Amino acid sequence: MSKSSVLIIATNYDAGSHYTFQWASDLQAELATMDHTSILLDAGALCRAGTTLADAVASADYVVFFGHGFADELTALPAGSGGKTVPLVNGSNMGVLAGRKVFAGCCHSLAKLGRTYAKQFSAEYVGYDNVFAFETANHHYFRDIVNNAVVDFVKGASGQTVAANLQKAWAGLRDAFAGGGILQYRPNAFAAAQYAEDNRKRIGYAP
Amino acid sequence: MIRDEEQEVLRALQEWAFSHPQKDRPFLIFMGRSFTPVEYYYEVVENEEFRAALFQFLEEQAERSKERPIDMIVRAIEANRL
Repeated sequence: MSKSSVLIIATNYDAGSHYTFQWASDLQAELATMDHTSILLDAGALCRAGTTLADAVASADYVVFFGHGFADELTALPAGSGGKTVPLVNGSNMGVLAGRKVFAGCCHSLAKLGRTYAKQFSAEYVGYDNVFAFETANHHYFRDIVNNAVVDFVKGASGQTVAANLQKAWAGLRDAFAGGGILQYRPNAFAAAQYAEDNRKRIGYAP
Repeated sequence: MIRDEEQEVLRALQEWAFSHPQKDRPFLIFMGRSFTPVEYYYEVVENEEFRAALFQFLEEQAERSKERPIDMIVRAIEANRL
């Protein structure tokens, strides 16, 4: 198996990103045990840090993002009193990703940023074209699906294959939480099932 | 779902939310917004699109599992008691 270098960038400033930062940390540990090289950086510290992001991307084959996103933005910092978020990557600086394969574990970014990036840099981008959601009592099941998909990507699966496998995995999780499923008696199972299904509908890739 | 079934689901959802052991802590994360069980209940009651999505999902799953739409909520109420 060829070894890859993975740059994981995550935020950790609210309830949602608190969980996904844990997922990012768990992913880094898993990649390390597979003998891949991985770096985990906090997006909030990167956004105003000069060339740090570019330097980190330069050492990576894959860029993985966990946090918040919009159609045209991976978010570094939350909106302050001015009401505007601070982007890590958006349309104006997407070149910093330098054609790396990107996995975006956040809302919306495939819809515009991902498709534009993939077209402009002939690179693969896996992400969600609408809201990405999870349920906290069962967040580790959601984490496992996301992190396993990243591992497949890093092991060489195409973006198309990763997205297709994610669709199957989300459907499997939906069924596990639904009536007759192995997880049907878990707390909040109805919501976990519903948003596993929504994630299934919303995962995609570009090009 | 017929209207009686919808009302039945809403009543069960209210029981689930207000008897939830962590009713004031976020349980559902949309990356950018979160809901506590109680906030979720009120969102279902007040947001027609949100409510319709839940009802449609419950109906689809009930049909697939050959059970009633309310049964997934009833299981969640029981899970809160454990």
